Amino acid sequence: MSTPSTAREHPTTGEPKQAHASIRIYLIVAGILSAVTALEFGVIYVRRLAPVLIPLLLVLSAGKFALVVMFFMHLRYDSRVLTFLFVAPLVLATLLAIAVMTLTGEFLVFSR
Amino acid sequence: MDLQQTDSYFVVAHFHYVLIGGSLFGILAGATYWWPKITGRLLDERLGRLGFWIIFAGFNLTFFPQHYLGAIGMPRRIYTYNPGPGWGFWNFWSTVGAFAIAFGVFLFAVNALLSLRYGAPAGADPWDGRTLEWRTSSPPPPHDFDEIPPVYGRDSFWREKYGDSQGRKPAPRPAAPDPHGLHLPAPSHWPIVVALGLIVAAAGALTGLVLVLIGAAVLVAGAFAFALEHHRNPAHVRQDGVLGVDHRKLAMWIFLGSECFLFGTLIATYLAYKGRSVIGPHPHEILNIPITTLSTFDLLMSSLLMVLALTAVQRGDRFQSRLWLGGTALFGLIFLGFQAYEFTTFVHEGLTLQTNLFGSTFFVLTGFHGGHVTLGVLWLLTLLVLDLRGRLGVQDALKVEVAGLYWHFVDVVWIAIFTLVYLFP
Repeated sequence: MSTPSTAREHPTTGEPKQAHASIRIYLIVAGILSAVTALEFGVIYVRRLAPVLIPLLLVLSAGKFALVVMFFMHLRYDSRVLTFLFVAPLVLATLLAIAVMTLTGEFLVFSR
Repeated sequence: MDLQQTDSYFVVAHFHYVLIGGSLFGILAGATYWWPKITGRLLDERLGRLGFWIIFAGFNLTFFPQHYLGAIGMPRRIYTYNPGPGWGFWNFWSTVGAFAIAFGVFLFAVNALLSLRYGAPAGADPWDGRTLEWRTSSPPPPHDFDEIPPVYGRDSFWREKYGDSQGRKPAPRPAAPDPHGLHLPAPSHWPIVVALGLIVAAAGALTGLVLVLIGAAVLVAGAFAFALEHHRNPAHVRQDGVLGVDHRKLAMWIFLGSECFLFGTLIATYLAYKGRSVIGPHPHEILNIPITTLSTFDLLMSSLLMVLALTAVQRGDRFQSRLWLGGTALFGLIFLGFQAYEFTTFVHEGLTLQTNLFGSTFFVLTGFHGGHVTLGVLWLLTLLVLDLRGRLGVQDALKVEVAGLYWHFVDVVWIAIFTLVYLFP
């Protein structure tokens, strides 16, 4: 199960070691993703968490987002150029979304 | 006076002078000029001149009298009139002119058709041209130039032939060794089928749902066949660009970057309008969080199957690659099933695209996401068919990786939607 299957030369392109994650790591990541999803589902029913619910949910989902992008999409092991090409628009789009919500007076993320 | 300026035949005369003089003559001139480049044959000069003078005379005969007609009170946008005002005489000559224009254009068409069979061969540069298109053969080969032509400045080809104002010619450049060779996309008929499907679907958007479905089916079938055709081109095995990353992977990441904006704006719109619906149903009355948690789990697990499929392809394990590719597509289909159930339930409970702000923003956001999932499922099935045909070898791993990037992105977008739309109070 835990063979680092991709950590060898690409058969035709002869690219140097492209150290992708091993299957074991994929399974661990999938386990964490499932657990966090279950946690997200659970916390919305806990009344005592209501005051911190929004930041808590944001952190949990950002964590899931990062895990998928870093491990399943291999950004952790790939060229920095690709990270920049994805993260820069992501940050800009997030700022844009926050700006839209601020301008329309529904700044839901922190106001409640 | 105002009426004569704005709503009389004077206006018709005036703007046709501009349109015909500015556009039609330009179009005919351009067609005449580039016809030899397009077909490799020269048009007949005498027939061309004759056609030009007939159109020129007809154009003036048609539209010049209309200035006068406007001045003596003929309004525009009428198709008939009494003999009383005396507009008949100049309208008659205007009609004669219109027939002359038609005859002139007919001569041009005849000339063009005849040239295909009887026209003299044009050669590469029949007009002693200045611009680069005259530097290649007529008609040009599909790839235009065997090597990228040197550009010495404005009117580059002229300068290459005759030198600058002092007659100094640029030194010929040594032919650059091209390590990639010249490789072109393989020709295919399927893109035209895809375009046809799109046209039918667009016509359906104006008439009825049946045509939309037929068009969509043709489109998907064409795209599917296109994807399965000309699968492996040796020239495309390695496509590293200046950044040291394969072009296909780079393109996918750039595309995903742009997708961040698409979904960013859709999510922002949803949140901006949240709580502003005047009438129900409202989110808390209708969203089924337990069911959506299940579908979220399903999509997350499909991402796991996707990476398993990639590693299986990378190590050449045919059985597992088929298993996991099929599994990923199946999980995608299950997700779509959840979404279809959710949408039909909502419509049943009175929430449609038109009901309120919540309905509009919710269906647009999740519908776009569902569209992305559908596209991903089709892509995965294409890969699965290639794999079943034995055409998805270890050397094709990058294709699976790029498809996987798209699939995981669809997954992370859902992670955001699940939290922001479903879980947020």
